[in-house]
Amino acid sequence: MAYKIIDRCVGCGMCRKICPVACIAGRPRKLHEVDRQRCIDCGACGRICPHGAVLDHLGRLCERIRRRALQWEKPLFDYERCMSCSACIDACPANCLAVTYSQDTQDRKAYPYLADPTACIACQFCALECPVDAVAMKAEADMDETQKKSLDGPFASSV
Amino acid sequence: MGHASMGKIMWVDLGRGTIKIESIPDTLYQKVLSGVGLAAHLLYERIPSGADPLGPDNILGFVSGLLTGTGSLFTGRWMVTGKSPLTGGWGDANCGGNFSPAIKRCGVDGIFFTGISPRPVYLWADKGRAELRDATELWGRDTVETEEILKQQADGRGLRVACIGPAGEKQSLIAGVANDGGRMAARSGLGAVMGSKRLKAVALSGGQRIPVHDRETIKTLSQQCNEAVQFHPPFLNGIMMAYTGTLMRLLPMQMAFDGMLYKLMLDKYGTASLNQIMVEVGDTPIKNWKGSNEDFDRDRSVNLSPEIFTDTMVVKYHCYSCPLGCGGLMAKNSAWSGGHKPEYESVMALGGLLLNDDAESIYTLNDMLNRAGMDTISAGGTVAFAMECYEKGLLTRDDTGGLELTWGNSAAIVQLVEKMIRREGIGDLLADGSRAAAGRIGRQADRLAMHAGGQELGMHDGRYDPGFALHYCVEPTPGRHTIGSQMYYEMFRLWERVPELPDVSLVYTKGSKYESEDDKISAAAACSRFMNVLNGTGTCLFGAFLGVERLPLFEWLNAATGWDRSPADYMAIGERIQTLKQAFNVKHGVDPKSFKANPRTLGIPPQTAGANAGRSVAVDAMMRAYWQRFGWDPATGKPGEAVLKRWGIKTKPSD
Repeated sequence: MAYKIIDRCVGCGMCRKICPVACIAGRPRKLHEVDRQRCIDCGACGRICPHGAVLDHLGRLCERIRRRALQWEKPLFDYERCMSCSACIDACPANCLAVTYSQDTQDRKAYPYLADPTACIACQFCALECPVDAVAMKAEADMDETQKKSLDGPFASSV
Repeated sequence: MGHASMGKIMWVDLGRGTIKIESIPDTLYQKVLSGVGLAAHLLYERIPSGADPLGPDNILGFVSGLLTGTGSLFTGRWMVTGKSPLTGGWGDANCGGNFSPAIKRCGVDGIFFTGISPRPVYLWADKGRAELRDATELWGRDTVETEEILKQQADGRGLRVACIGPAGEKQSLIAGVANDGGRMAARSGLGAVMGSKRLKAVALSGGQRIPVHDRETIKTLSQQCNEAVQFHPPFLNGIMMAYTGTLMRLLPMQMAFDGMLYKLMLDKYGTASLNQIMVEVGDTPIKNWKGSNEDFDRDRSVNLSPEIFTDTMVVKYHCYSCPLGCGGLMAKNSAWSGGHKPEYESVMALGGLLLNDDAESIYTLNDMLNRAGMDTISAGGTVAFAMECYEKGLLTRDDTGGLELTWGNSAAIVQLVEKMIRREGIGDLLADGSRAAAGRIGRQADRLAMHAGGQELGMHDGRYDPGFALHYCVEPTPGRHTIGSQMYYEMFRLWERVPELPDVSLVYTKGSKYESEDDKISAAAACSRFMNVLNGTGTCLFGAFLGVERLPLFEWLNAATGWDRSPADYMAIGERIQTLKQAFNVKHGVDPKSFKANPRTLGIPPQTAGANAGRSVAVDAMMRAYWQRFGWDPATGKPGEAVLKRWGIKTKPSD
């Protein structure tokens, strides 16, 4: 397992900066290297690499996905299904999720939401680990208005 | 490498300041699971006999559970383990919160500390690196502050902290370890061990993934389990539950308890749901165990009704992977300063046990103790002891520094607990629990100390449910209310998975609870074994109350690990762990017979009034039968060589 950087790498450092577990090392303009012991297979390096220089854990070449074009997937929460167990928050290696709750005392449920959208690396671990499949991943560019709004959590206006 | 476990543990030598990783073979997990089993195996072999619990040879272990982080539910509990300075034997304390998965996400199943640091330190593990850092600035801070400061340094998110407060620093023998805003691993006095090692905190932020054999099967099982949890019919309110308790007390018969009912109570009010109903039925000890429901009737207990504590709750608190959320975070207002909602045990140890019905004082005490890192049950039990000493003249106003320690004097209770936390005046005498205090007072004060083996008893009365009495006396960690009872056995419904275990009758006479019979011993032994499986997997007792048909523990285990074991096989592992813990105690010179609880708590002599009037528990015979059920010597409670060999436990562990 673990990702691998091949010699197409130009040492731009984008993978090193995005890696959530800081397991990529390398000097500017030199070939970078993944610490195989610490790599968690989140795939962020492969998605961000502009030079197609990353192989995934199965040895396949990773395809660059345009982050600025909002092509990276983000978590959408199904709050009817969600049981507030916080497994998603714990699973997130980028620490971009948090819980929020209503000031209304009738609703005392805690809801997870994407608290730090720019930190999200589209790894899908939250969706993978959710025991009740209440998290769906979707590229922001493909979301409708309601979905985009829901990224800010269930009480977007009051938070 | 196997699945569900991380295959490694971390050793931190605080004396030398070194950290190393040890690999754990999959065969060991197959023998003892992870969590408490792994810790019991290692500590039994590696803590030298006669080691000072507060000395460098004691090993303090933080362990996760085998099912933690696998997609199973109710499996977010962690444990702190070591030789207990309170009982002198095996010590462990269990806690929810968010620390259990944090251990595994640092790539290990447990973190074990040896030696004593020359200065206050904390362990920092982040992104695959670990180091000891100076904690001089943190020393003296309370548990909530400590966590906040460490989180600020880590940019606020992702850091999980377990730490001690001033009570642990001052090596109070009733100190615990806190995480996630003051949730306590409270029992066994292991906060004192952490303080003795000058280890202020363990701060973890890992991103490792937890390997799972068959995630899809786990998810299917979890979703079935969740359906039971999300059943929310309209349910009784607090006062209706109180009257139900009264009715249950008056009836000569009792019904087997179904965990679904308790689920509904927990869902609505958390453990505070028990506040009144348990006083009414006779399960809550009152006035240092000498009073009864008549001393704390509905007109008084209503001041501690479940609503009092839930009305100011702003959001339900869920531990990691919990679909139920029995905890709650309180509003900040003039009376309450936020923090965790007081649990039933704390409310009653600081309430009914002291004849105190002032909810605000209980809230204050709960917050103070969580921040100080002191066990609310033992603190309440020790204050109750002091009050009775005061009543009997064993402590005078001079001794108390002017405090009028009369029953229910809430202002005096708050001041006394403050002194205990600071070890000031009489507080110093009481900060090590009731047994140590009784020893210092002398004059037979021990008769007024309601403990088993030094551990103050939980807020469940063995005279109401003799199962509690037996487990208080017979467990390697005495005085615990979280291992077994007749009611727990009814809720676990283990006979549905392990056919040789006895079924319970749906309706029975109350008198039959006190008859010592074979089935009751089988049930008690099964509770102990099952609880070890729960604690080896990181599973919550309240989840297990749903019953094994609704909480698919054994099925989750096979799916997570890829093993193909029967429920009976897992129960056998539980028996091995129980024997390991008992062997630990024997190795350290603890006489199992000495764990017999104070006779008053067993109804010797029986009470003359209240719900448990006339009831006594013949615990000696039950203890012998229980030991025999494990193949230990029924006369001494010690596991012989043959039984140790059968479980593959070293008969002569090093030293």
